[in-house]
Amino acid sequence: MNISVGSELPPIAYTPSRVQLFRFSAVTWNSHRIHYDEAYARSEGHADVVVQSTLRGEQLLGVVRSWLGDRGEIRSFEWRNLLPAHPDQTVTCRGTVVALDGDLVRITLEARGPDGDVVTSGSAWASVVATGR
Amino acid sequence: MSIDGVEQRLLTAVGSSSTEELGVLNRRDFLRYALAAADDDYVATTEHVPLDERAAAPVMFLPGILHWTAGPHERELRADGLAARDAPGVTDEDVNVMHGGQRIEFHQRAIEGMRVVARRELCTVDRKQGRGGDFLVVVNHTRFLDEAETLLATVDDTILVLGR
Repeated sequence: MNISVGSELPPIAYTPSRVQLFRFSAVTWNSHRIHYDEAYARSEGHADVVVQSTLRGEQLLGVVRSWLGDRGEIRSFEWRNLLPAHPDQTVTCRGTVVALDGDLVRITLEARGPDGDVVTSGSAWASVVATGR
Repeated sequence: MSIDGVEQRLLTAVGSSSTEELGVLNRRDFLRYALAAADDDYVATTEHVPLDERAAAPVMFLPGILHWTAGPHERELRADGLAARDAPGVTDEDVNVMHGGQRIEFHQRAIEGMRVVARRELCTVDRKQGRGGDFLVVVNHTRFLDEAETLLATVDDTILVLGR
């Protein structure tokens, strides 16, 4: 696995559907109305129902998971939401290698919404099997 | 302002802790979670793990589940649909509560058949100024452990409490 500082991970675009939001609320037993009740979400000032925070974390980390495959392990991950995300809007998640430390790789992550604004940012450390790095 | 009362209650609760039994992890829940998260690679891999082997949980399974117990009756939910446990210290105030992010350290992979407990602690409550007024940043720390007290993951959840 050839890795160097500045390497970009393959981006992944997600377009969550309302059905996906329902299923994610169901499996995580999250009854917060902003995720399924549009009128209620608007009463809190949102433009529509809101994609769950931890689903957005899942999407962001998906860039690392997909890139890493079975060639390593994710050691840590931190992320924060900067702007709301809504269903039927495409969010593109990207990652960039910013540091190498032994078998550890630090990756900065960001998700941009349809307007190009960063809606989620974060970073992760992963250990990578050393095969020709 | 409506967050004043919330802030006072939360500040008195800083340092309080609790232990929650999450039960025994199972493959059906792993797959349901992965399907809902659209983690197709996990689903494709785990569907082929023989039943006499123990499947590993999706990486974000422990930090991603909001409720592990049966939870409250619908009549006990707040107007916004949250359970009291989701918004500790917040009762009937006119505030919005949102999850803002996580800081996670993964120590050991959670595996099918593990009995897991979560030890939770309210760590910090900070008042900030934003464009829409003051808001609170609440950090809850959770340690997930197996039955042998092996640390599986630690998670700091950031909760935002905003005045309406």
